[in-house]
Amino acid sequence: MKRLMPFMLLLLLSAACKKVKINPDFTRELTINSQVKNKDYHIKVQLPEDYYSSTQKYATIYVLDAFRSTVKDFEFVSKTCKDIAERQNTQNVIVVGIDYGDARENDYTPTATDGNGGEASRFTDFIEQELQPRIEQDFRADTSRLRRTIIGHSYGGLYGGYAFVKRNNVFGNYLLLSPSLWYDHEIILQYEKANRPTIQNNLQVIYLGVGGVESYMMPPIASLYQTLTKYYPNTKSSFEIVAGEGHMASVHKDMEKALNYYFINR
Amino acid sequence: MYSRIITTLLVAFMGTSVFAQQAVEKYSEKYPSRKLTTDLGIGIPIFQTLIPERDWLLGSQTQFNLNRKLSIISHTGLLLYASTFHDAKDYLKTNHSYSLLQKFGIGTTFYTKGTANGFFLMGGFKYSSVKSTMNNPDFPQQTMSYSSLISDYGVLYNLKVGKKKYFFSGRVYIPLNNLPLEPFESSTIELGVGTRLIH
Repeated sequence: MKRLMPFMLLLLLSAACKKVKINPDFTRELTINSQVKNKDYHIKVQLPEDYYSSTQKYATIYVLDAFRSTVKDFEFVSKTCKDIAERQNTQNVIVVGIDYGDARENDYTPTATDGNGGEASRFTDFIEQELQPRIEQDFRADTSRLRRTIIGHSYGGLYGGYAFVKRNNVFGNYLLLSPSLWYDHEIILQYEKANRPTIQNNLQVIYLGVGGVESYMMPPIASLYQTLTKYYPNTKSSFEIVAGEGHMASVHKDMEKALNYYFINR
Repeated sequence: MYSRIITTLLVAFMGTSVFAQQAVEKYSEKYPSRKLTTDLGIGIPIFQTLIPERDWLLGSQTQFNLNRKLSIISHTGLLLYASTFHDAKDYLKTNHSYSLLQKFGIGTTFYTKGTANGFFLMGGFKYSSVKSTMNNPDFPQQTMSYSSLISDYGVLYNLKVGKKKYFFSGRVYIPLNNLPLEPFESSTIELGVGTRLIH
């Protein structure tokens, strides 16, 4: 046992430090000086590996919180999309990672609470007026709403919910992972109720996910899901729970489920 | 960042192991040999050390030393999630939110003066149950409950300090499933007291 211990520990060490690898030859970085938000946004773009050998246009997935060091959202989404596209023998997507800088609570929240937040509308202006045109000009990205997807976790999921109910023209697919729909007394559910007549017949894909021990997150998400199934005849929706996992530990499993759902139902 | 934290923890884990291994010959006679021990502990997830809203872990551990180096261990825990202890906010109330943890392990123990350093590979399951309710007057009441059973495995460092029959214990558990996020969120630290049942 004593002799085996160092080998076992080395094995565990290497397993614990495994990295999500993406091909850097297909990664582009840019900084957009936003006039709308009056700040710089660091953007990363991962192109499909057949990008230079084809002339086709690609769907886009916009990743919020893209460069969190714990989750590595951008790398994980890029790698997972590549794997799914290969497995399903279907066209991959262009992945666009958006850095939140120091303004996550501002950019992703629809209203100000305790004097903070409430910039979701202007952040959407930045995406619609500055980011998407730039991506669609610099790369062969499809410009149709149904070929644009947003994926976000926690406050990022809250923002995705906001985009769905208030700015439904910007994205056609919403992958919402543990979305903070409790925010400001379930304000997203209020917006949905008010805007339902204008968005309920639109074509869209909505994935809702949550960790299995995120107790207080669940009821508003379940409520939104029930509303979707009841009032949205042209929406493909799914509500998944990641068994036994918490808010952070559920992210990668939830992303895999969400992206699989998107690729199958897009 | 997570890989740096895990690397640091595992390097510390290995370093302690090597140190303990070197010290074992010197002090092995001075540490009281215990055949069967049990202890009770209370702990929290490590990443929550610096934040106010914490989950709480109540744990009980029983260790049986097959011989001076080889031990088997059983750890039972009740993890109460932070939301259990808070009042309803944003019209949301947690009715209950907990996980029951049961793991068994095998490992080795190194003895220094008055201490025993145990290193174990652990495996078992985690049963979780949550129930919460949304009482927003603008919407129908929404209650959601969910239970799950998943596997749970990882490494455990267990420190015992004491003489004769009673001892203080401290342990760190690092899960190794669902890498790299599970160790980040679910590694726990526990402190407790214990006693020898069979010498």
